[in-house]
Amino acid sequence: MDRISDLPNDILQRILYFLSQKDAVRTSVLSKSWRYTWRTRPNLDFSEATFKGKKQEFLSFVDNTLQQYHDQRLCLDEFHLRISLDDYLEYKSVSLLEKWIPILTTMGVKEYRLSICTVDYNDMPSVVFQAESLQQLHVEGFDMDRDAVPTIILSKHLKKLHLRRVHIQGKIFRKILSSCPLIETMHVEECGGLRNIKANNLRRLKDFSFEGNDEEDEPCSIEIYPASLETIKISFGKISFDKGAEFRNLVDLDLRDVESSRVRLFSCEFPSLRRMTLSDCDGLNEESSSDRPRWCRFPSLEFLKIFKCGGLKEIQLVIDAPNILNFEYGGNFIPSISFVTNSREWKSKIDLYKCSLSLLKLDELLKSLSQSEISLMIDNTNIIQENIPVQDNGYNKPIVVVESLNMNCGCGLSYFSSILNDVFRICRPRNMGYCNNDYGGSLMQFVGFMWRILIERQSDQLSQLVLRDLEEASMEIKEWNEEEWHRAPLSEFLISHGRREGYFTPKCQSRFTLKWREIA
Amino acid sequence: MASPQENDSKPETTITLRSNDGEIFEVPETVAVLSVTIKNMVDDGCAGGIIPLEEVDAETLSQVITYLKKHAALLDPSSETEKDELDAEFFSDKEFNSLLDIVNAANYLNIKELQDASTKQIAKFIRNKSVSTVRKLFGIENDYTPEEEEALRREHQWAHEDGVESDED
Repeated sequence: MDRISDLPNDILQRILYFLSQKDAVRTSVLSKSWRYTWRTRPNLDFSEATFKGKKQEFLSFVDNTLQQYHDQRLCLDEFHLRISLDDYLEYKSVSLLEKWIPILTTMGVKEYRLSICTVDYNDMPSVVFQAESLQQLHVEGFDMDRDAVPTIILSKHLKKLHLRRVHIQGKIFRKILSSCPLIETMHVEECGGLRNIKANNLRRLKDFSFEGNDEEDEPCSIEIYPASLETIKISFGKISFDKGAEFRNLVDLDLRDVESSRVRLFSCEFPSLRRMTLSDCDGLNEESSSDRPRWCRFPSLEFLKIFKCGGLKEIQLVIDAPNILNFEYGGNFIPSISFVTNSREWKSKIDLYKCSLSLLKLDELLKSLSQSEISLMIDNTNIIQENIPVQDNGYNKPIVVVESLNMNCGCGLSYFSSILNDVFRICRPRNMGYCNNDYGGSLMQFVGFMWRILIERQSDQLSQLVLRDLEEASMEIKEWNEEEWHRAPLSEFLISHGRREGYFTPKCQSRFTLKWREIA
Repeated sequence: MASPQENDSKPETTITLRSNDGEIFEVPETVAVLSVTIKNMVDDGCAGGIIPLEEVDAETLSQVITYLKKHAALLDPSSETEKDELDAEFFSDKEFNSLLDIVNAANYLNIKELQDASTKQIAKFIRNKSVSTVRKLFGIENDYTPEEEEALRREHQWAHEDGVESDED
């Protein structure tokens, strides 16, 4: 028994509202009473891609449907159109846009999104600037440099603007921004011609994302209003924050390759920040690098990632983050970062590569992270010999337990054991593995060597201290398709690993599980 | 007589509802007025007595009340994720027929969240399905002639192409 076709029209329209345009149109075939129901729902979503190259059909379909809605005075709340202007029908498409946009305005469509793209940097059709109730605009590949356009203003209702690979000059961009103060989301990617973005008077801006062209001589300089922002993602740009600026609502901050001499990041307030990623940002050092550590409060911070930020060399940071869940650091020097937190269940991951490793500094860092589950990777480094406070019974300083330690043996194996001894003076790994699974040959040599010194305790490679404290060592392997590690003798790994052919075949991994004596 | 609440610590006012098959349900007022229909009746002064709901049977009414209670208990009513989770859980065990009853009830009782959630749920049954599957599921009788149907399909050929389950015939 058919219980659905007799539902009141507005319920049917509501059901169809949740469907894609394609699914909605298909319902016309269900039965005669369904023939036109799809064309009464309050939303239209036209995407050229679903027509798979049949541009003329697409244009006719949009035109006919929109005309119907207009003629029948149907309620149209949402209208989305995705169209490209690249083919032989480009002229026709533009003239149809010039017909549709005014119709949409008279119909008072509330949520109206337009996405137009081109490959060839054509001039943007000026009719887009007349789309009065436009809420979201996505433009890709156009040229918006024309001074000839009389009023380059976008709809004052514009909430979201996404520009990608668009040629646009700063002053034109400014004009556009000043016409839409209600903007909440702005994404600008690879847009040539922009020297600066001044968005301080966008007081509703929540989501700002910028990806610059790394081919430009000067990175684009960016000014934004801090208080409203919830998400900031900038790569290849230049930004400065006012000292003490309060980013009241900021939850996500992601800065990559951001240049600045005045970022003053660590003197700003981030009460709601949950995720922060800083990568390749050199200008983080504050104006006065004093000897006093800088205390930074991040009351909501959960994820912190710092990669290759040379600017941190000169600063000492104390990060007060009671809710930290995950800290990741990668770089070629050991940062002076310590954490103040009561968090009991957090993880930290430290990747050090190609650097001169100061054991003392590493020791300090590990101690500061000792409440977390630490994964440490030391790749291709030189260890600077230093005197560490003696870790013997007399001194009673517990050596930091590290969940996993991965090292790379770039040097000769004999030298490697002295590095190992040094590292074991400041940390006790539960698992030990290697990084860089490159060469089958030297890797097997490496694993074999580790087996001999850790498990067989051959010769006098390991220091007395280590030999005394290392109670047990075993090897585990995991095939690429396995979930769990399992214990195995060296021979099994050598056979398994040796069997691999070609660079791209997934390898099986091995690691050493170490059990250390508890130091009271 | 129902008395207005001054603060949270006072006992809640209850509204009495009666389904069209005679069953009585006592519901806290704050929960009941999520239905605009009921709210209007309360505002019109019917709260003292029993509110009869002509279009809803007991089983459906009990489900609707469950939904309303869960909705009122949400920690963060503006959180989309919380609402989605509530909806997913609520509809997970609903059969198609009761879904239709709920849609009708939500419409009659004018409960926006439930109207949206239940129509969305029905939409799931149509999404990516072939026309014949949907007809079978909903019990819709095809009154097109084969020629008419063929012509209609050709009119919107793009909509019947890939990504869609193909019709078995």
